[in-house]
Amino acid sequence: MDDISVGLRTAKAQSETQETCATCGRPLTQRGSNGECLRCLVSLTFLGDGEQPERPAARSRLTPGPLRYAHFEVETGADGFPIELGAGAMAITYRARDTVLNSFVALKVIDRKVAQNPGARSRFLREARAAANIHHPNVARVTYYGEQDGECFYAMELVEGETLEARVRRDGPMSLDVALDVVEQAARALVAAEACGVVHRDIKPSNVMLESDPTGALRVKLIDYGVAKVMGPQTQSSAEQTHAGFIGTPAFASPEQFAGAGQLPVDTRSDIYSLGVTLWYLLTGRTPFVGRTMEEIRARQTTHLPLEQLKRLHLPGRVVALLKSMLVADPNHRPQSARELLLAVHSCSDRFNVEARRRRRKAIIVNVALMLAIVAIACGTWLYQRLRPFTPEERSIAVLPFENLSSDKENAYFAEGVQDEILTRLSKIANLKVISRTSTQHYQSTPKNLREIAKQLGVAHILEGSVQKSADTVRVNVQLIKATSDSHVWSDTFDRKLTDILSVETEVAKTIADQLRAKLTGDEQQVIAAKPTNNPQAYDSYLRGLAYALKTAFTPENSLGAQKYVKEAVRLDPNFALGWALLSYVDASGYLTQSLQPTVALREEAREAAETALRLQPNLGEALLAMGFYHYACLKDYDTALKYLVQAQQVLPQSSRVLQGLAFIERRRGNWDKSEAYFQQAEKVDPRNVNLLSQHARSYICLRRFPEALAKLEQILNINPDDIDTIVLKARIAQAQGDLPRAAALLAPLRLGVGYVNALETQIYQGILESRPGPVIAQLKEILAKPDKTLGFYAGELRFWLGWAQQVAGDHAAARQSWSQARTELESFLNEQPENFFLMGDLALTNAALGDNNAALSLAERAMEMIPIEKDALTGPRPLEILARVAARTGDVDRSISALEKLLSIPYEAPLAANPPLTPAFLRLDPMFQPLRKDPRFQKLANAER
Amino acid sequence: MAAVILPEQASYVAQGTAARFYSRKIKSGGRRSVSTKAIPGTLQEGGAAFQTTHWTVVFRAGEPDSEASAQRALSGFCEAYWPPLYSFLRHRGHSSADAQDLVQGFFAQLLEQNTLSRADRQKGRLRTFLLGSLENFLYNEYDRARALKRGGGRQVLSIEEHLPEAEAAMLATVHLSDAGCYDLVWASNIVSRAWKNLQNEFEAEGRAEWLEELRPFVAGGSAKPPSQEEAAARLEVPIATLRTWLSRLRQRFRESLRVEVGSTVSDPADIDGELRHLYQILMA
Repeated sequence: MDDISVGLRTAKAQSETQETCATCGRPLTQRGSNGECLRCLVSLTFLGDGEQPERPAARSRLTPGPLRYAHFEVETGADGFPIELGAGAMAITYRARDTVLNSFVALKVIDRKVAQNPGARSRFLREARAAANIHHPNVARVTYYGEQDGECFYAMELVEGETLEARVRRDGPMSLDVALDVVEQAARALVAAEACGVVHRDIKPSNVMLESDPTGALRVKLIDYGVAKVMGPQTQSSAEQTHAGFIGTPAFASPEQFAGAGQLPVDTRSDIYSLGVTLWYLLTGRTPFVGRTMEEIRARQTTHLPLEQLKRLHLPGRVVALLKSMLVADPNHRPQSARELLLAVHSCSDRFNVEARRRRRKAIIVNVALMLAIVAIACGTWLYQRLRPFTPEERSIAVLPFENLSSDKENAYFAEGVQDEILTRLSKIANLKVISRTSTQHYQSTPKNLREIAKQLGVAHILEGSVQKSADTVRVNVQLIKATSDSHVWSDTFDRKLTDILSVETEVAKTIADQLRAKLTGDEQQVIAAKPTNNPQAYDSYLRGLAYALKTAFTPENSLGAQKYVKEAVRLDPNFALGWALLSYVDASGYLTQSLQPTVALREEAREAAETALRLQPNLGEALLAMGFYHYACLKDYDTALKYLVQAQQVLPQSSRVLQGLAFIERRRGNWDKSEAYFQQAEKVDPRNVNLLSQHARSYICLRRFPEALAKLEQILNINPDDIDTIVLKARIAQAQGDLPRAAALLAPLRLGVGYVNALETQIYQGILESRPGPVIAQLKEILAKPDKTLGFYAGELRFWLGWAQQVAGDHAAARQSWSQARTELESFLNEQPENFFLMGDLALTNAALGDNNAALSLAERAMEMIPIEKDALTGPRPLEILARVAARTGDVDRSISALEKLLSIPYEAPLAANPPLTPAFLRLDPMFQPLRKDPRFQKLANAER
Repeated sequence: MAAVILPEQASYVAQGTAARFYSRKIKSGGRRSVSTKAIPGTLQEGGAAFQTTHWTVVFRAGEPDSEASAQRALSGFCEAYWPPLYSFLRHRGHSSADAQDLVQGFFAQLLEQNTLSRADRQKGRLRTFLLGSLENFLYNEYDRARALKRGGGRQVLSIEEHLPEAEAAMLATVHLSDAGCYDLVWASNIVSRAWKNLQNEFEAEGRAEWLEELRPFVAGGSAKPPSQEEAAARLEVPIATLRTWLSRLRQRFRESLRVEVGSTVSDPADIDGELRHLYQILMA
């Protein structure tokens, strides 16, 4: 919403073409000292001989966005990436939705590389068929098999639980009775599989899931039946396959699996062995045989069982005997079938239970007493919880996007609108911390990781909701959830006529305030209950416009859409103050970001709309915000804007938009500390608003507080890892600190292009600072060879840059020619935009470069008059920097140095690509200051330690 | 005197094991011979030769009586783990000079016994331990001057050799978080070292040229590898023999990598998990 290149964010820079590995086809970014491809090398660990390392095409999971396999849609997380349940070297398991049955499944997608092995697909299909035949409560069933674009995949029953591995990692070894229960259930699964002639081949704690059945009892599910055989080394025919390319965890493999293809049969007895290792792991938290190499593991398997590991567990003799029998190296001495195993396990747990019974009886008495005590404590706690006041931390809430359950997808706007209206009402309660929409909109409606999200947003409560609209009735369902315990605090469903939707929003907001024990003042009661319009059609139209206005990017499409519907809303109800306020806001932000044509008419419409809103409802927060924003965005009248925003803040204490506006305005007024405080406040209610964080970082940059700026930028990269703006800012900071290698490293992966102006300018400047302008000259020539009307005066600026780069390269004739052309182009624009001081600065520098000193100086002075520093602390000093540069060039050393002295003492945003203000490092590196270098006053400035 | 580890002290402990670390009580004296005590169920048990892992270096560093040997071991250790630590600091925004001083100071601190007795190092991964310790170090001694003082001009290794590579590594990691950069440089460092060790072994066996001939088939690279037939003809062996050689070479590399990774985990049972992690980092 600030005026810095918001509209220019669209184009994405891409990586330059890099050298690739001839073997695996991946970029050779990770290489050894002699150019080895480290990816090829590390792949060897997970590949069999003859298998090629995967080529990048095999993995689609690095790209965000929806993945679809047949009628299965892979679920995406808050970050837009597919939700992976597990990933191995050969396959990825996703959480996916069966769009036909509208249920969830685990979708295993096998890498292309495996799928492309000759015969692999038919083998895979055969195995999947066999696995699909196992119908058993302890086996996750395979329900679908498919192939798509060279990939095989199958859908499996989704088990909502955790793996044994995760459980043991979390809680440590299991108690004997639980472990035996798990193994008994797993043995039952083996019996069922054996009947179908299927061997698992990769039984290990991470392939056994635990879930609770409806009665709360543990249920074991074996997953991934039929996978190992297809993916394992047995698929290769080469006789050289010994233990190479072992898939899975060697520690759980049976000796016959180590023996290699065809040497020993791998049957159920192999699974029994692996289950034995699993039982060992459950009881001790470790595997019996470990070694640094597979050879060592194998050798240990055949020597002795480290029974001493079991000693301190005091296991019953039968259990030790069971373990011993399962872990015999020779399969002929293990239980010979799954059924035999089941009997052995069963008798063990029976035995164990008899022994345990006596102990348990005693325990029951103790337990009953304990229970009574717990109940008493719980009652007390509950009473206390009900009566005590909530802490400020507890009175915090984030409203997640509401799910649109209407059959008509077109009604999505309605769900968005209702969510935003509830959020807005809540944000009017001073006593409540409400996270702004900008920070919540990227989350899902009903996410799994509520606790994590609450942590990211710094709230104790989350509101989820859904909206269903059909004809003239609406059903709204809301659920207030306490994040720490993932428990419902309150939920309700409202079935209303469409005309009554406003009362639902009010009711929800009031109930939440009540539940979170936020006290409402009388004013707040009124504000929340206020009905913005009595005309349902007008409100519907308003919600449609609002949905457009809430979109993140200020694109012409969004702005025009918002404008159209909001105009319709106020046409239907001319007394709709909230509608008028929104219209003004849409117009003013369109004017500022130029997503609407910045005409006088548009500016006037913004003013009239804000005035109308204020006339209708003088205390409406949104109307005050609109009026303030109009003065800020359209008139740059910061004092008046501030006056309105301060008033708006009284009514909308939680609005990050108001706080952000206040931060911007105070910054322009040179009150950097106040601005900083507003930024901090805004981030409390809007912690994941990237634009806000980025503006805050820019403030730090202007103040030359680079470590703090870098920390803010890191915060952005944690939300948007590839944000180009942010990477460019990091590079600019490195330049300002004189760390050119680091800046170069940051800029290197970005492709030069006009699509992304910030990056381009920074790259050109880097070339100039490094005195290596060759590549940027070539690139600039290429860009300028194609006339592009949309560039406007910017093409002239690029020509100025080109001339500068050519001068640094020593090609003075070419430089002159570029500058002459730049001057012609820039002058033609200045006639149309006589107030554009950016343009004036460019033209002043160009004239100075061409030796037209008078013209250069007068332009710089004109710009300074137009935007004095006192009027605008952020960009006001820009013309002074232009003057310093022009004066250095024209030989007016005193004037240049006194300007530099002033500039180095104040915070500001610089005119050239170096958006960081001038620093000693810039003085040392920038060739434009060359003429001053001998002056001791300049040397003092340039060598001042920052 | 017994002390309970506070969460902030044990903050380097990664993921799942955290809960156990927090609750475990340890001796703060820390000079027990934990380093040589056999860990049941591992190689060290049952008469297997005790292997010096890089973990042992960390254990021993705190023992004053082993000053000389610790110093020797430490210099090898520092050389091995300098690049990821340096890259991490550069990625975080420190200048090259600051980053060099900070790593130096950090290594010097590792030699001091007090810091080492803070945590139970019987379990864990060197990768997460070092990063966590470095972060603690930065937290406590953010100031370069103090780090310099701590380094005391002690030059534990010559960095000139590694500097260009570590700087170049930043090129590939600008898109990552600081910790992501560390992990990636760590992973490539380990794999690269495993290959180098293998190279050295072959050199010692007088088979360097032979290895050079087979290298493109195993280690990839920008040049298109020759066909196996061509290579077999050049080596004057039947193609089947070449394939057998390739298979053995791959196997030896796997072993070499396992040894290298094994050197960074305290419990050999973690090797597979750590290998998978390295694989995922490099392939991402």
